Amino acid sequence: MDEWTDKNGDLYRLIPDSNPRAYELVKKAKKASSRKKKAGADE
Amino acid sequence: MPQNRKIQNFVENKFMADDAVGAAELVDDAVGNAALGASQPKNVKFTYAFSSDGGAVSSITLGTLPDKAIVTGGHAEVEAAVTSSGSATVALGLVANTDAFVAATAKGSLTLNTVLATSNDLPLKMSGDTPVIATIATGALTAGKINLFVEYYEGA
Repeated sequence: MDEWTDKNGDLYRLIPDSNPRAYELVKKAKKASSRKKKAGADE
Repeated sequence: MPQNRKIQNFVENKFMADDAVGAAELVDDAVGNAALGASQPKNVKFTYAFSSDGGAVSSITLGTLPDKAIVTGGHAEVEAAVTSSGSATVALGLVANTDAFVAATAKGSLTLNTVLATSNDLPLKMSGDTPVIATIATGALTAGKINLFVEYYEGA
């Protein structure tokens, strides 16, 4: 497994020749908007 | 009837009395996860050590949890304080779920002898052999050692 996406969308890639095997963050996921609509809130 | 004392001393399991093997007959640490029944909790220890793993901003593989393991609990122990010239954080988790056990935790909370709950995303079932990783973010570490103890059952 040389490349994988974290549960929050960040992309990690294996660092060549790393010992122990280590992964670097190559692409960070865009943050979702912090303004969330409250459930049941009045429009 | 002639007797052979050496053969007399050789007793097969089926002739042994219940409870014949007690603590005195077992070598310390002789029983590992493989010898335990599937319904018994297993325990594995993973270690992040700056001295052997380095402290670069990255996700470092500490070991692997077996396929179908159902992780129910555990804890992390800071054996040597985590230090950094920046505002580093450390998370403990799995490939594709880097904070499954411990969410990103600032170095100031990773002082000597701190014990952390590792229940962030638990319980979890492994699909395939799954690498356990420590994720260093924000700044590189300059020291630190963390032991991660994971308790799991063999799933079906």
